[in-house]
Amino acid sequence: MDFLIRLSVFTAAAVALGGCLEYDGGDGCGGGANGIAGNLEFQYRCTSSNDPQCEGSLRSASMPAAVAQGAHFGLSAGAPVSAKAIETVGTGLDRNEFVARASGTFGFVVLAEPEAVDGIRITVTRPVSLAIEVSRMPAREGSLTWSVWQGPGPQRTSIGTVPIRAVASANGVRLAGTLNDFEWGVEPPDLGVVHAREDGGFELQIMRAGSGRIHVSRGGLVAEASFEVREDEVPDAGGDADTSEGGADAGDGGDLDAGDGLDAGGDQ
Amino acid sequence: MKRIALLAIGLLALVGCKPSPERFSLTAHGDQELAGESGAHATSLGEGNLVLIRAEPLDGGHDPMDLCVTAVSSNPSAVEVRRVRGQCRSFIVMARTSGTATLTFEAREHREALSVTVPPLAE
Repeated sequence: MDFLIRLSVFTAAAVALGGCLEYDGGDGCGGGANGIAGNLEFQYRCTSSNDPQCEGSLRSASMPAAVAQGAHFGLSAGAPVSAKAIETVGTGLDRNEFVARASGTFGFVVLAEPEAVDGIRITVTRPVSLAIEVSRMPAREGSLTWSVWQGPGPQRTSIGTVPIRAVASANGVRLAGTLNDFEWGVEPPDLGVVHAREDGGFELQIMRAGSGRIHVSRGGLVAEASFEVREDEVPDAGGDADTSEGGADAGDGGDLDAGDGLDAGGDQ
Repeated sequence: MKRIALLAIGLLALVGCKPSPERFSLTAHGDQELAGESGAHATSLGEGNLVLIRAEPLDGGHDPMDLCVTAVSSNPSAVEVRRVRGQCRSFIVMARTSGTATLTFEAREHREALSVTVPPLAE
């Protein structure tokens, strides 16, 4: 009995230390492990909110189909991930953070000297097109119509800001990674302005009601979208604007009314 | 006591006579080809890429043998090979820079080579 207790304690300790019990020829950790040796689960990490692989405030996601050439991205696997095999094309900026400088397929490993624990491969692709995304709406080709609303009353005079991002793609695949060097513009200029946020993402600050276009370019690629700011649409009925609670709603008024405004069918 | 000693000697003799592998079965994770045109083991690995290779020692009847395998690279600057932790027949091969290297797998005095060509990276 004492032996069994010790054995189970040892087993629990081994599992805790190693993450799993390994054996030659086996499946390693089994469920969840996506490394080529089946020992570790690699997770993709976004370095900014402009990375389409992560939605909202999430900073980790499943492994992407491909990363954009020139993009920054991170990997985690519960241990330092080494880009030792791609010293010529990747530079670690921080622990487990990389830059995809060339296109191709590249390997990343977790080492436990003198052995390797596991590795994973990531495909890096040169972007061939750009698209503008609003909040969590999918990317659209060509023009895109948005509708944001501006409520009546002094509490609702400020539309606020709309999170936007530029998404690179190739062969119909959205490319993961944080790309820099975007050039944004709004026409007419007094309708709004695009700001870079501290988290590396972008936001469109609406200045007034009206119709306009927003465009973004990078490395010869261009994306455009049209948007409309309506002054007379308030999503929640009632007299909130006349009450003290209306002040709280004013904050919501800064959000994009994404669902109503997307002209999905006509833009395809 | 004498019987035990004889038994031990007999066991040692048996272990010592265990045959070497006839050949290795080399397989790669995914769709990586390991066969060259001449029939020798050969593969190509893009600069910066890696591959998991499993070297399985086989006996004369082509059955797997319970043997561990070592692997070394002839050109460590081009290709780096590391044994996978906790396993003794699986290796992660990393292509560091363009060039050609020969990986040598060995188990009980049987050696087999795998030629790895690393083409230069296309910018």
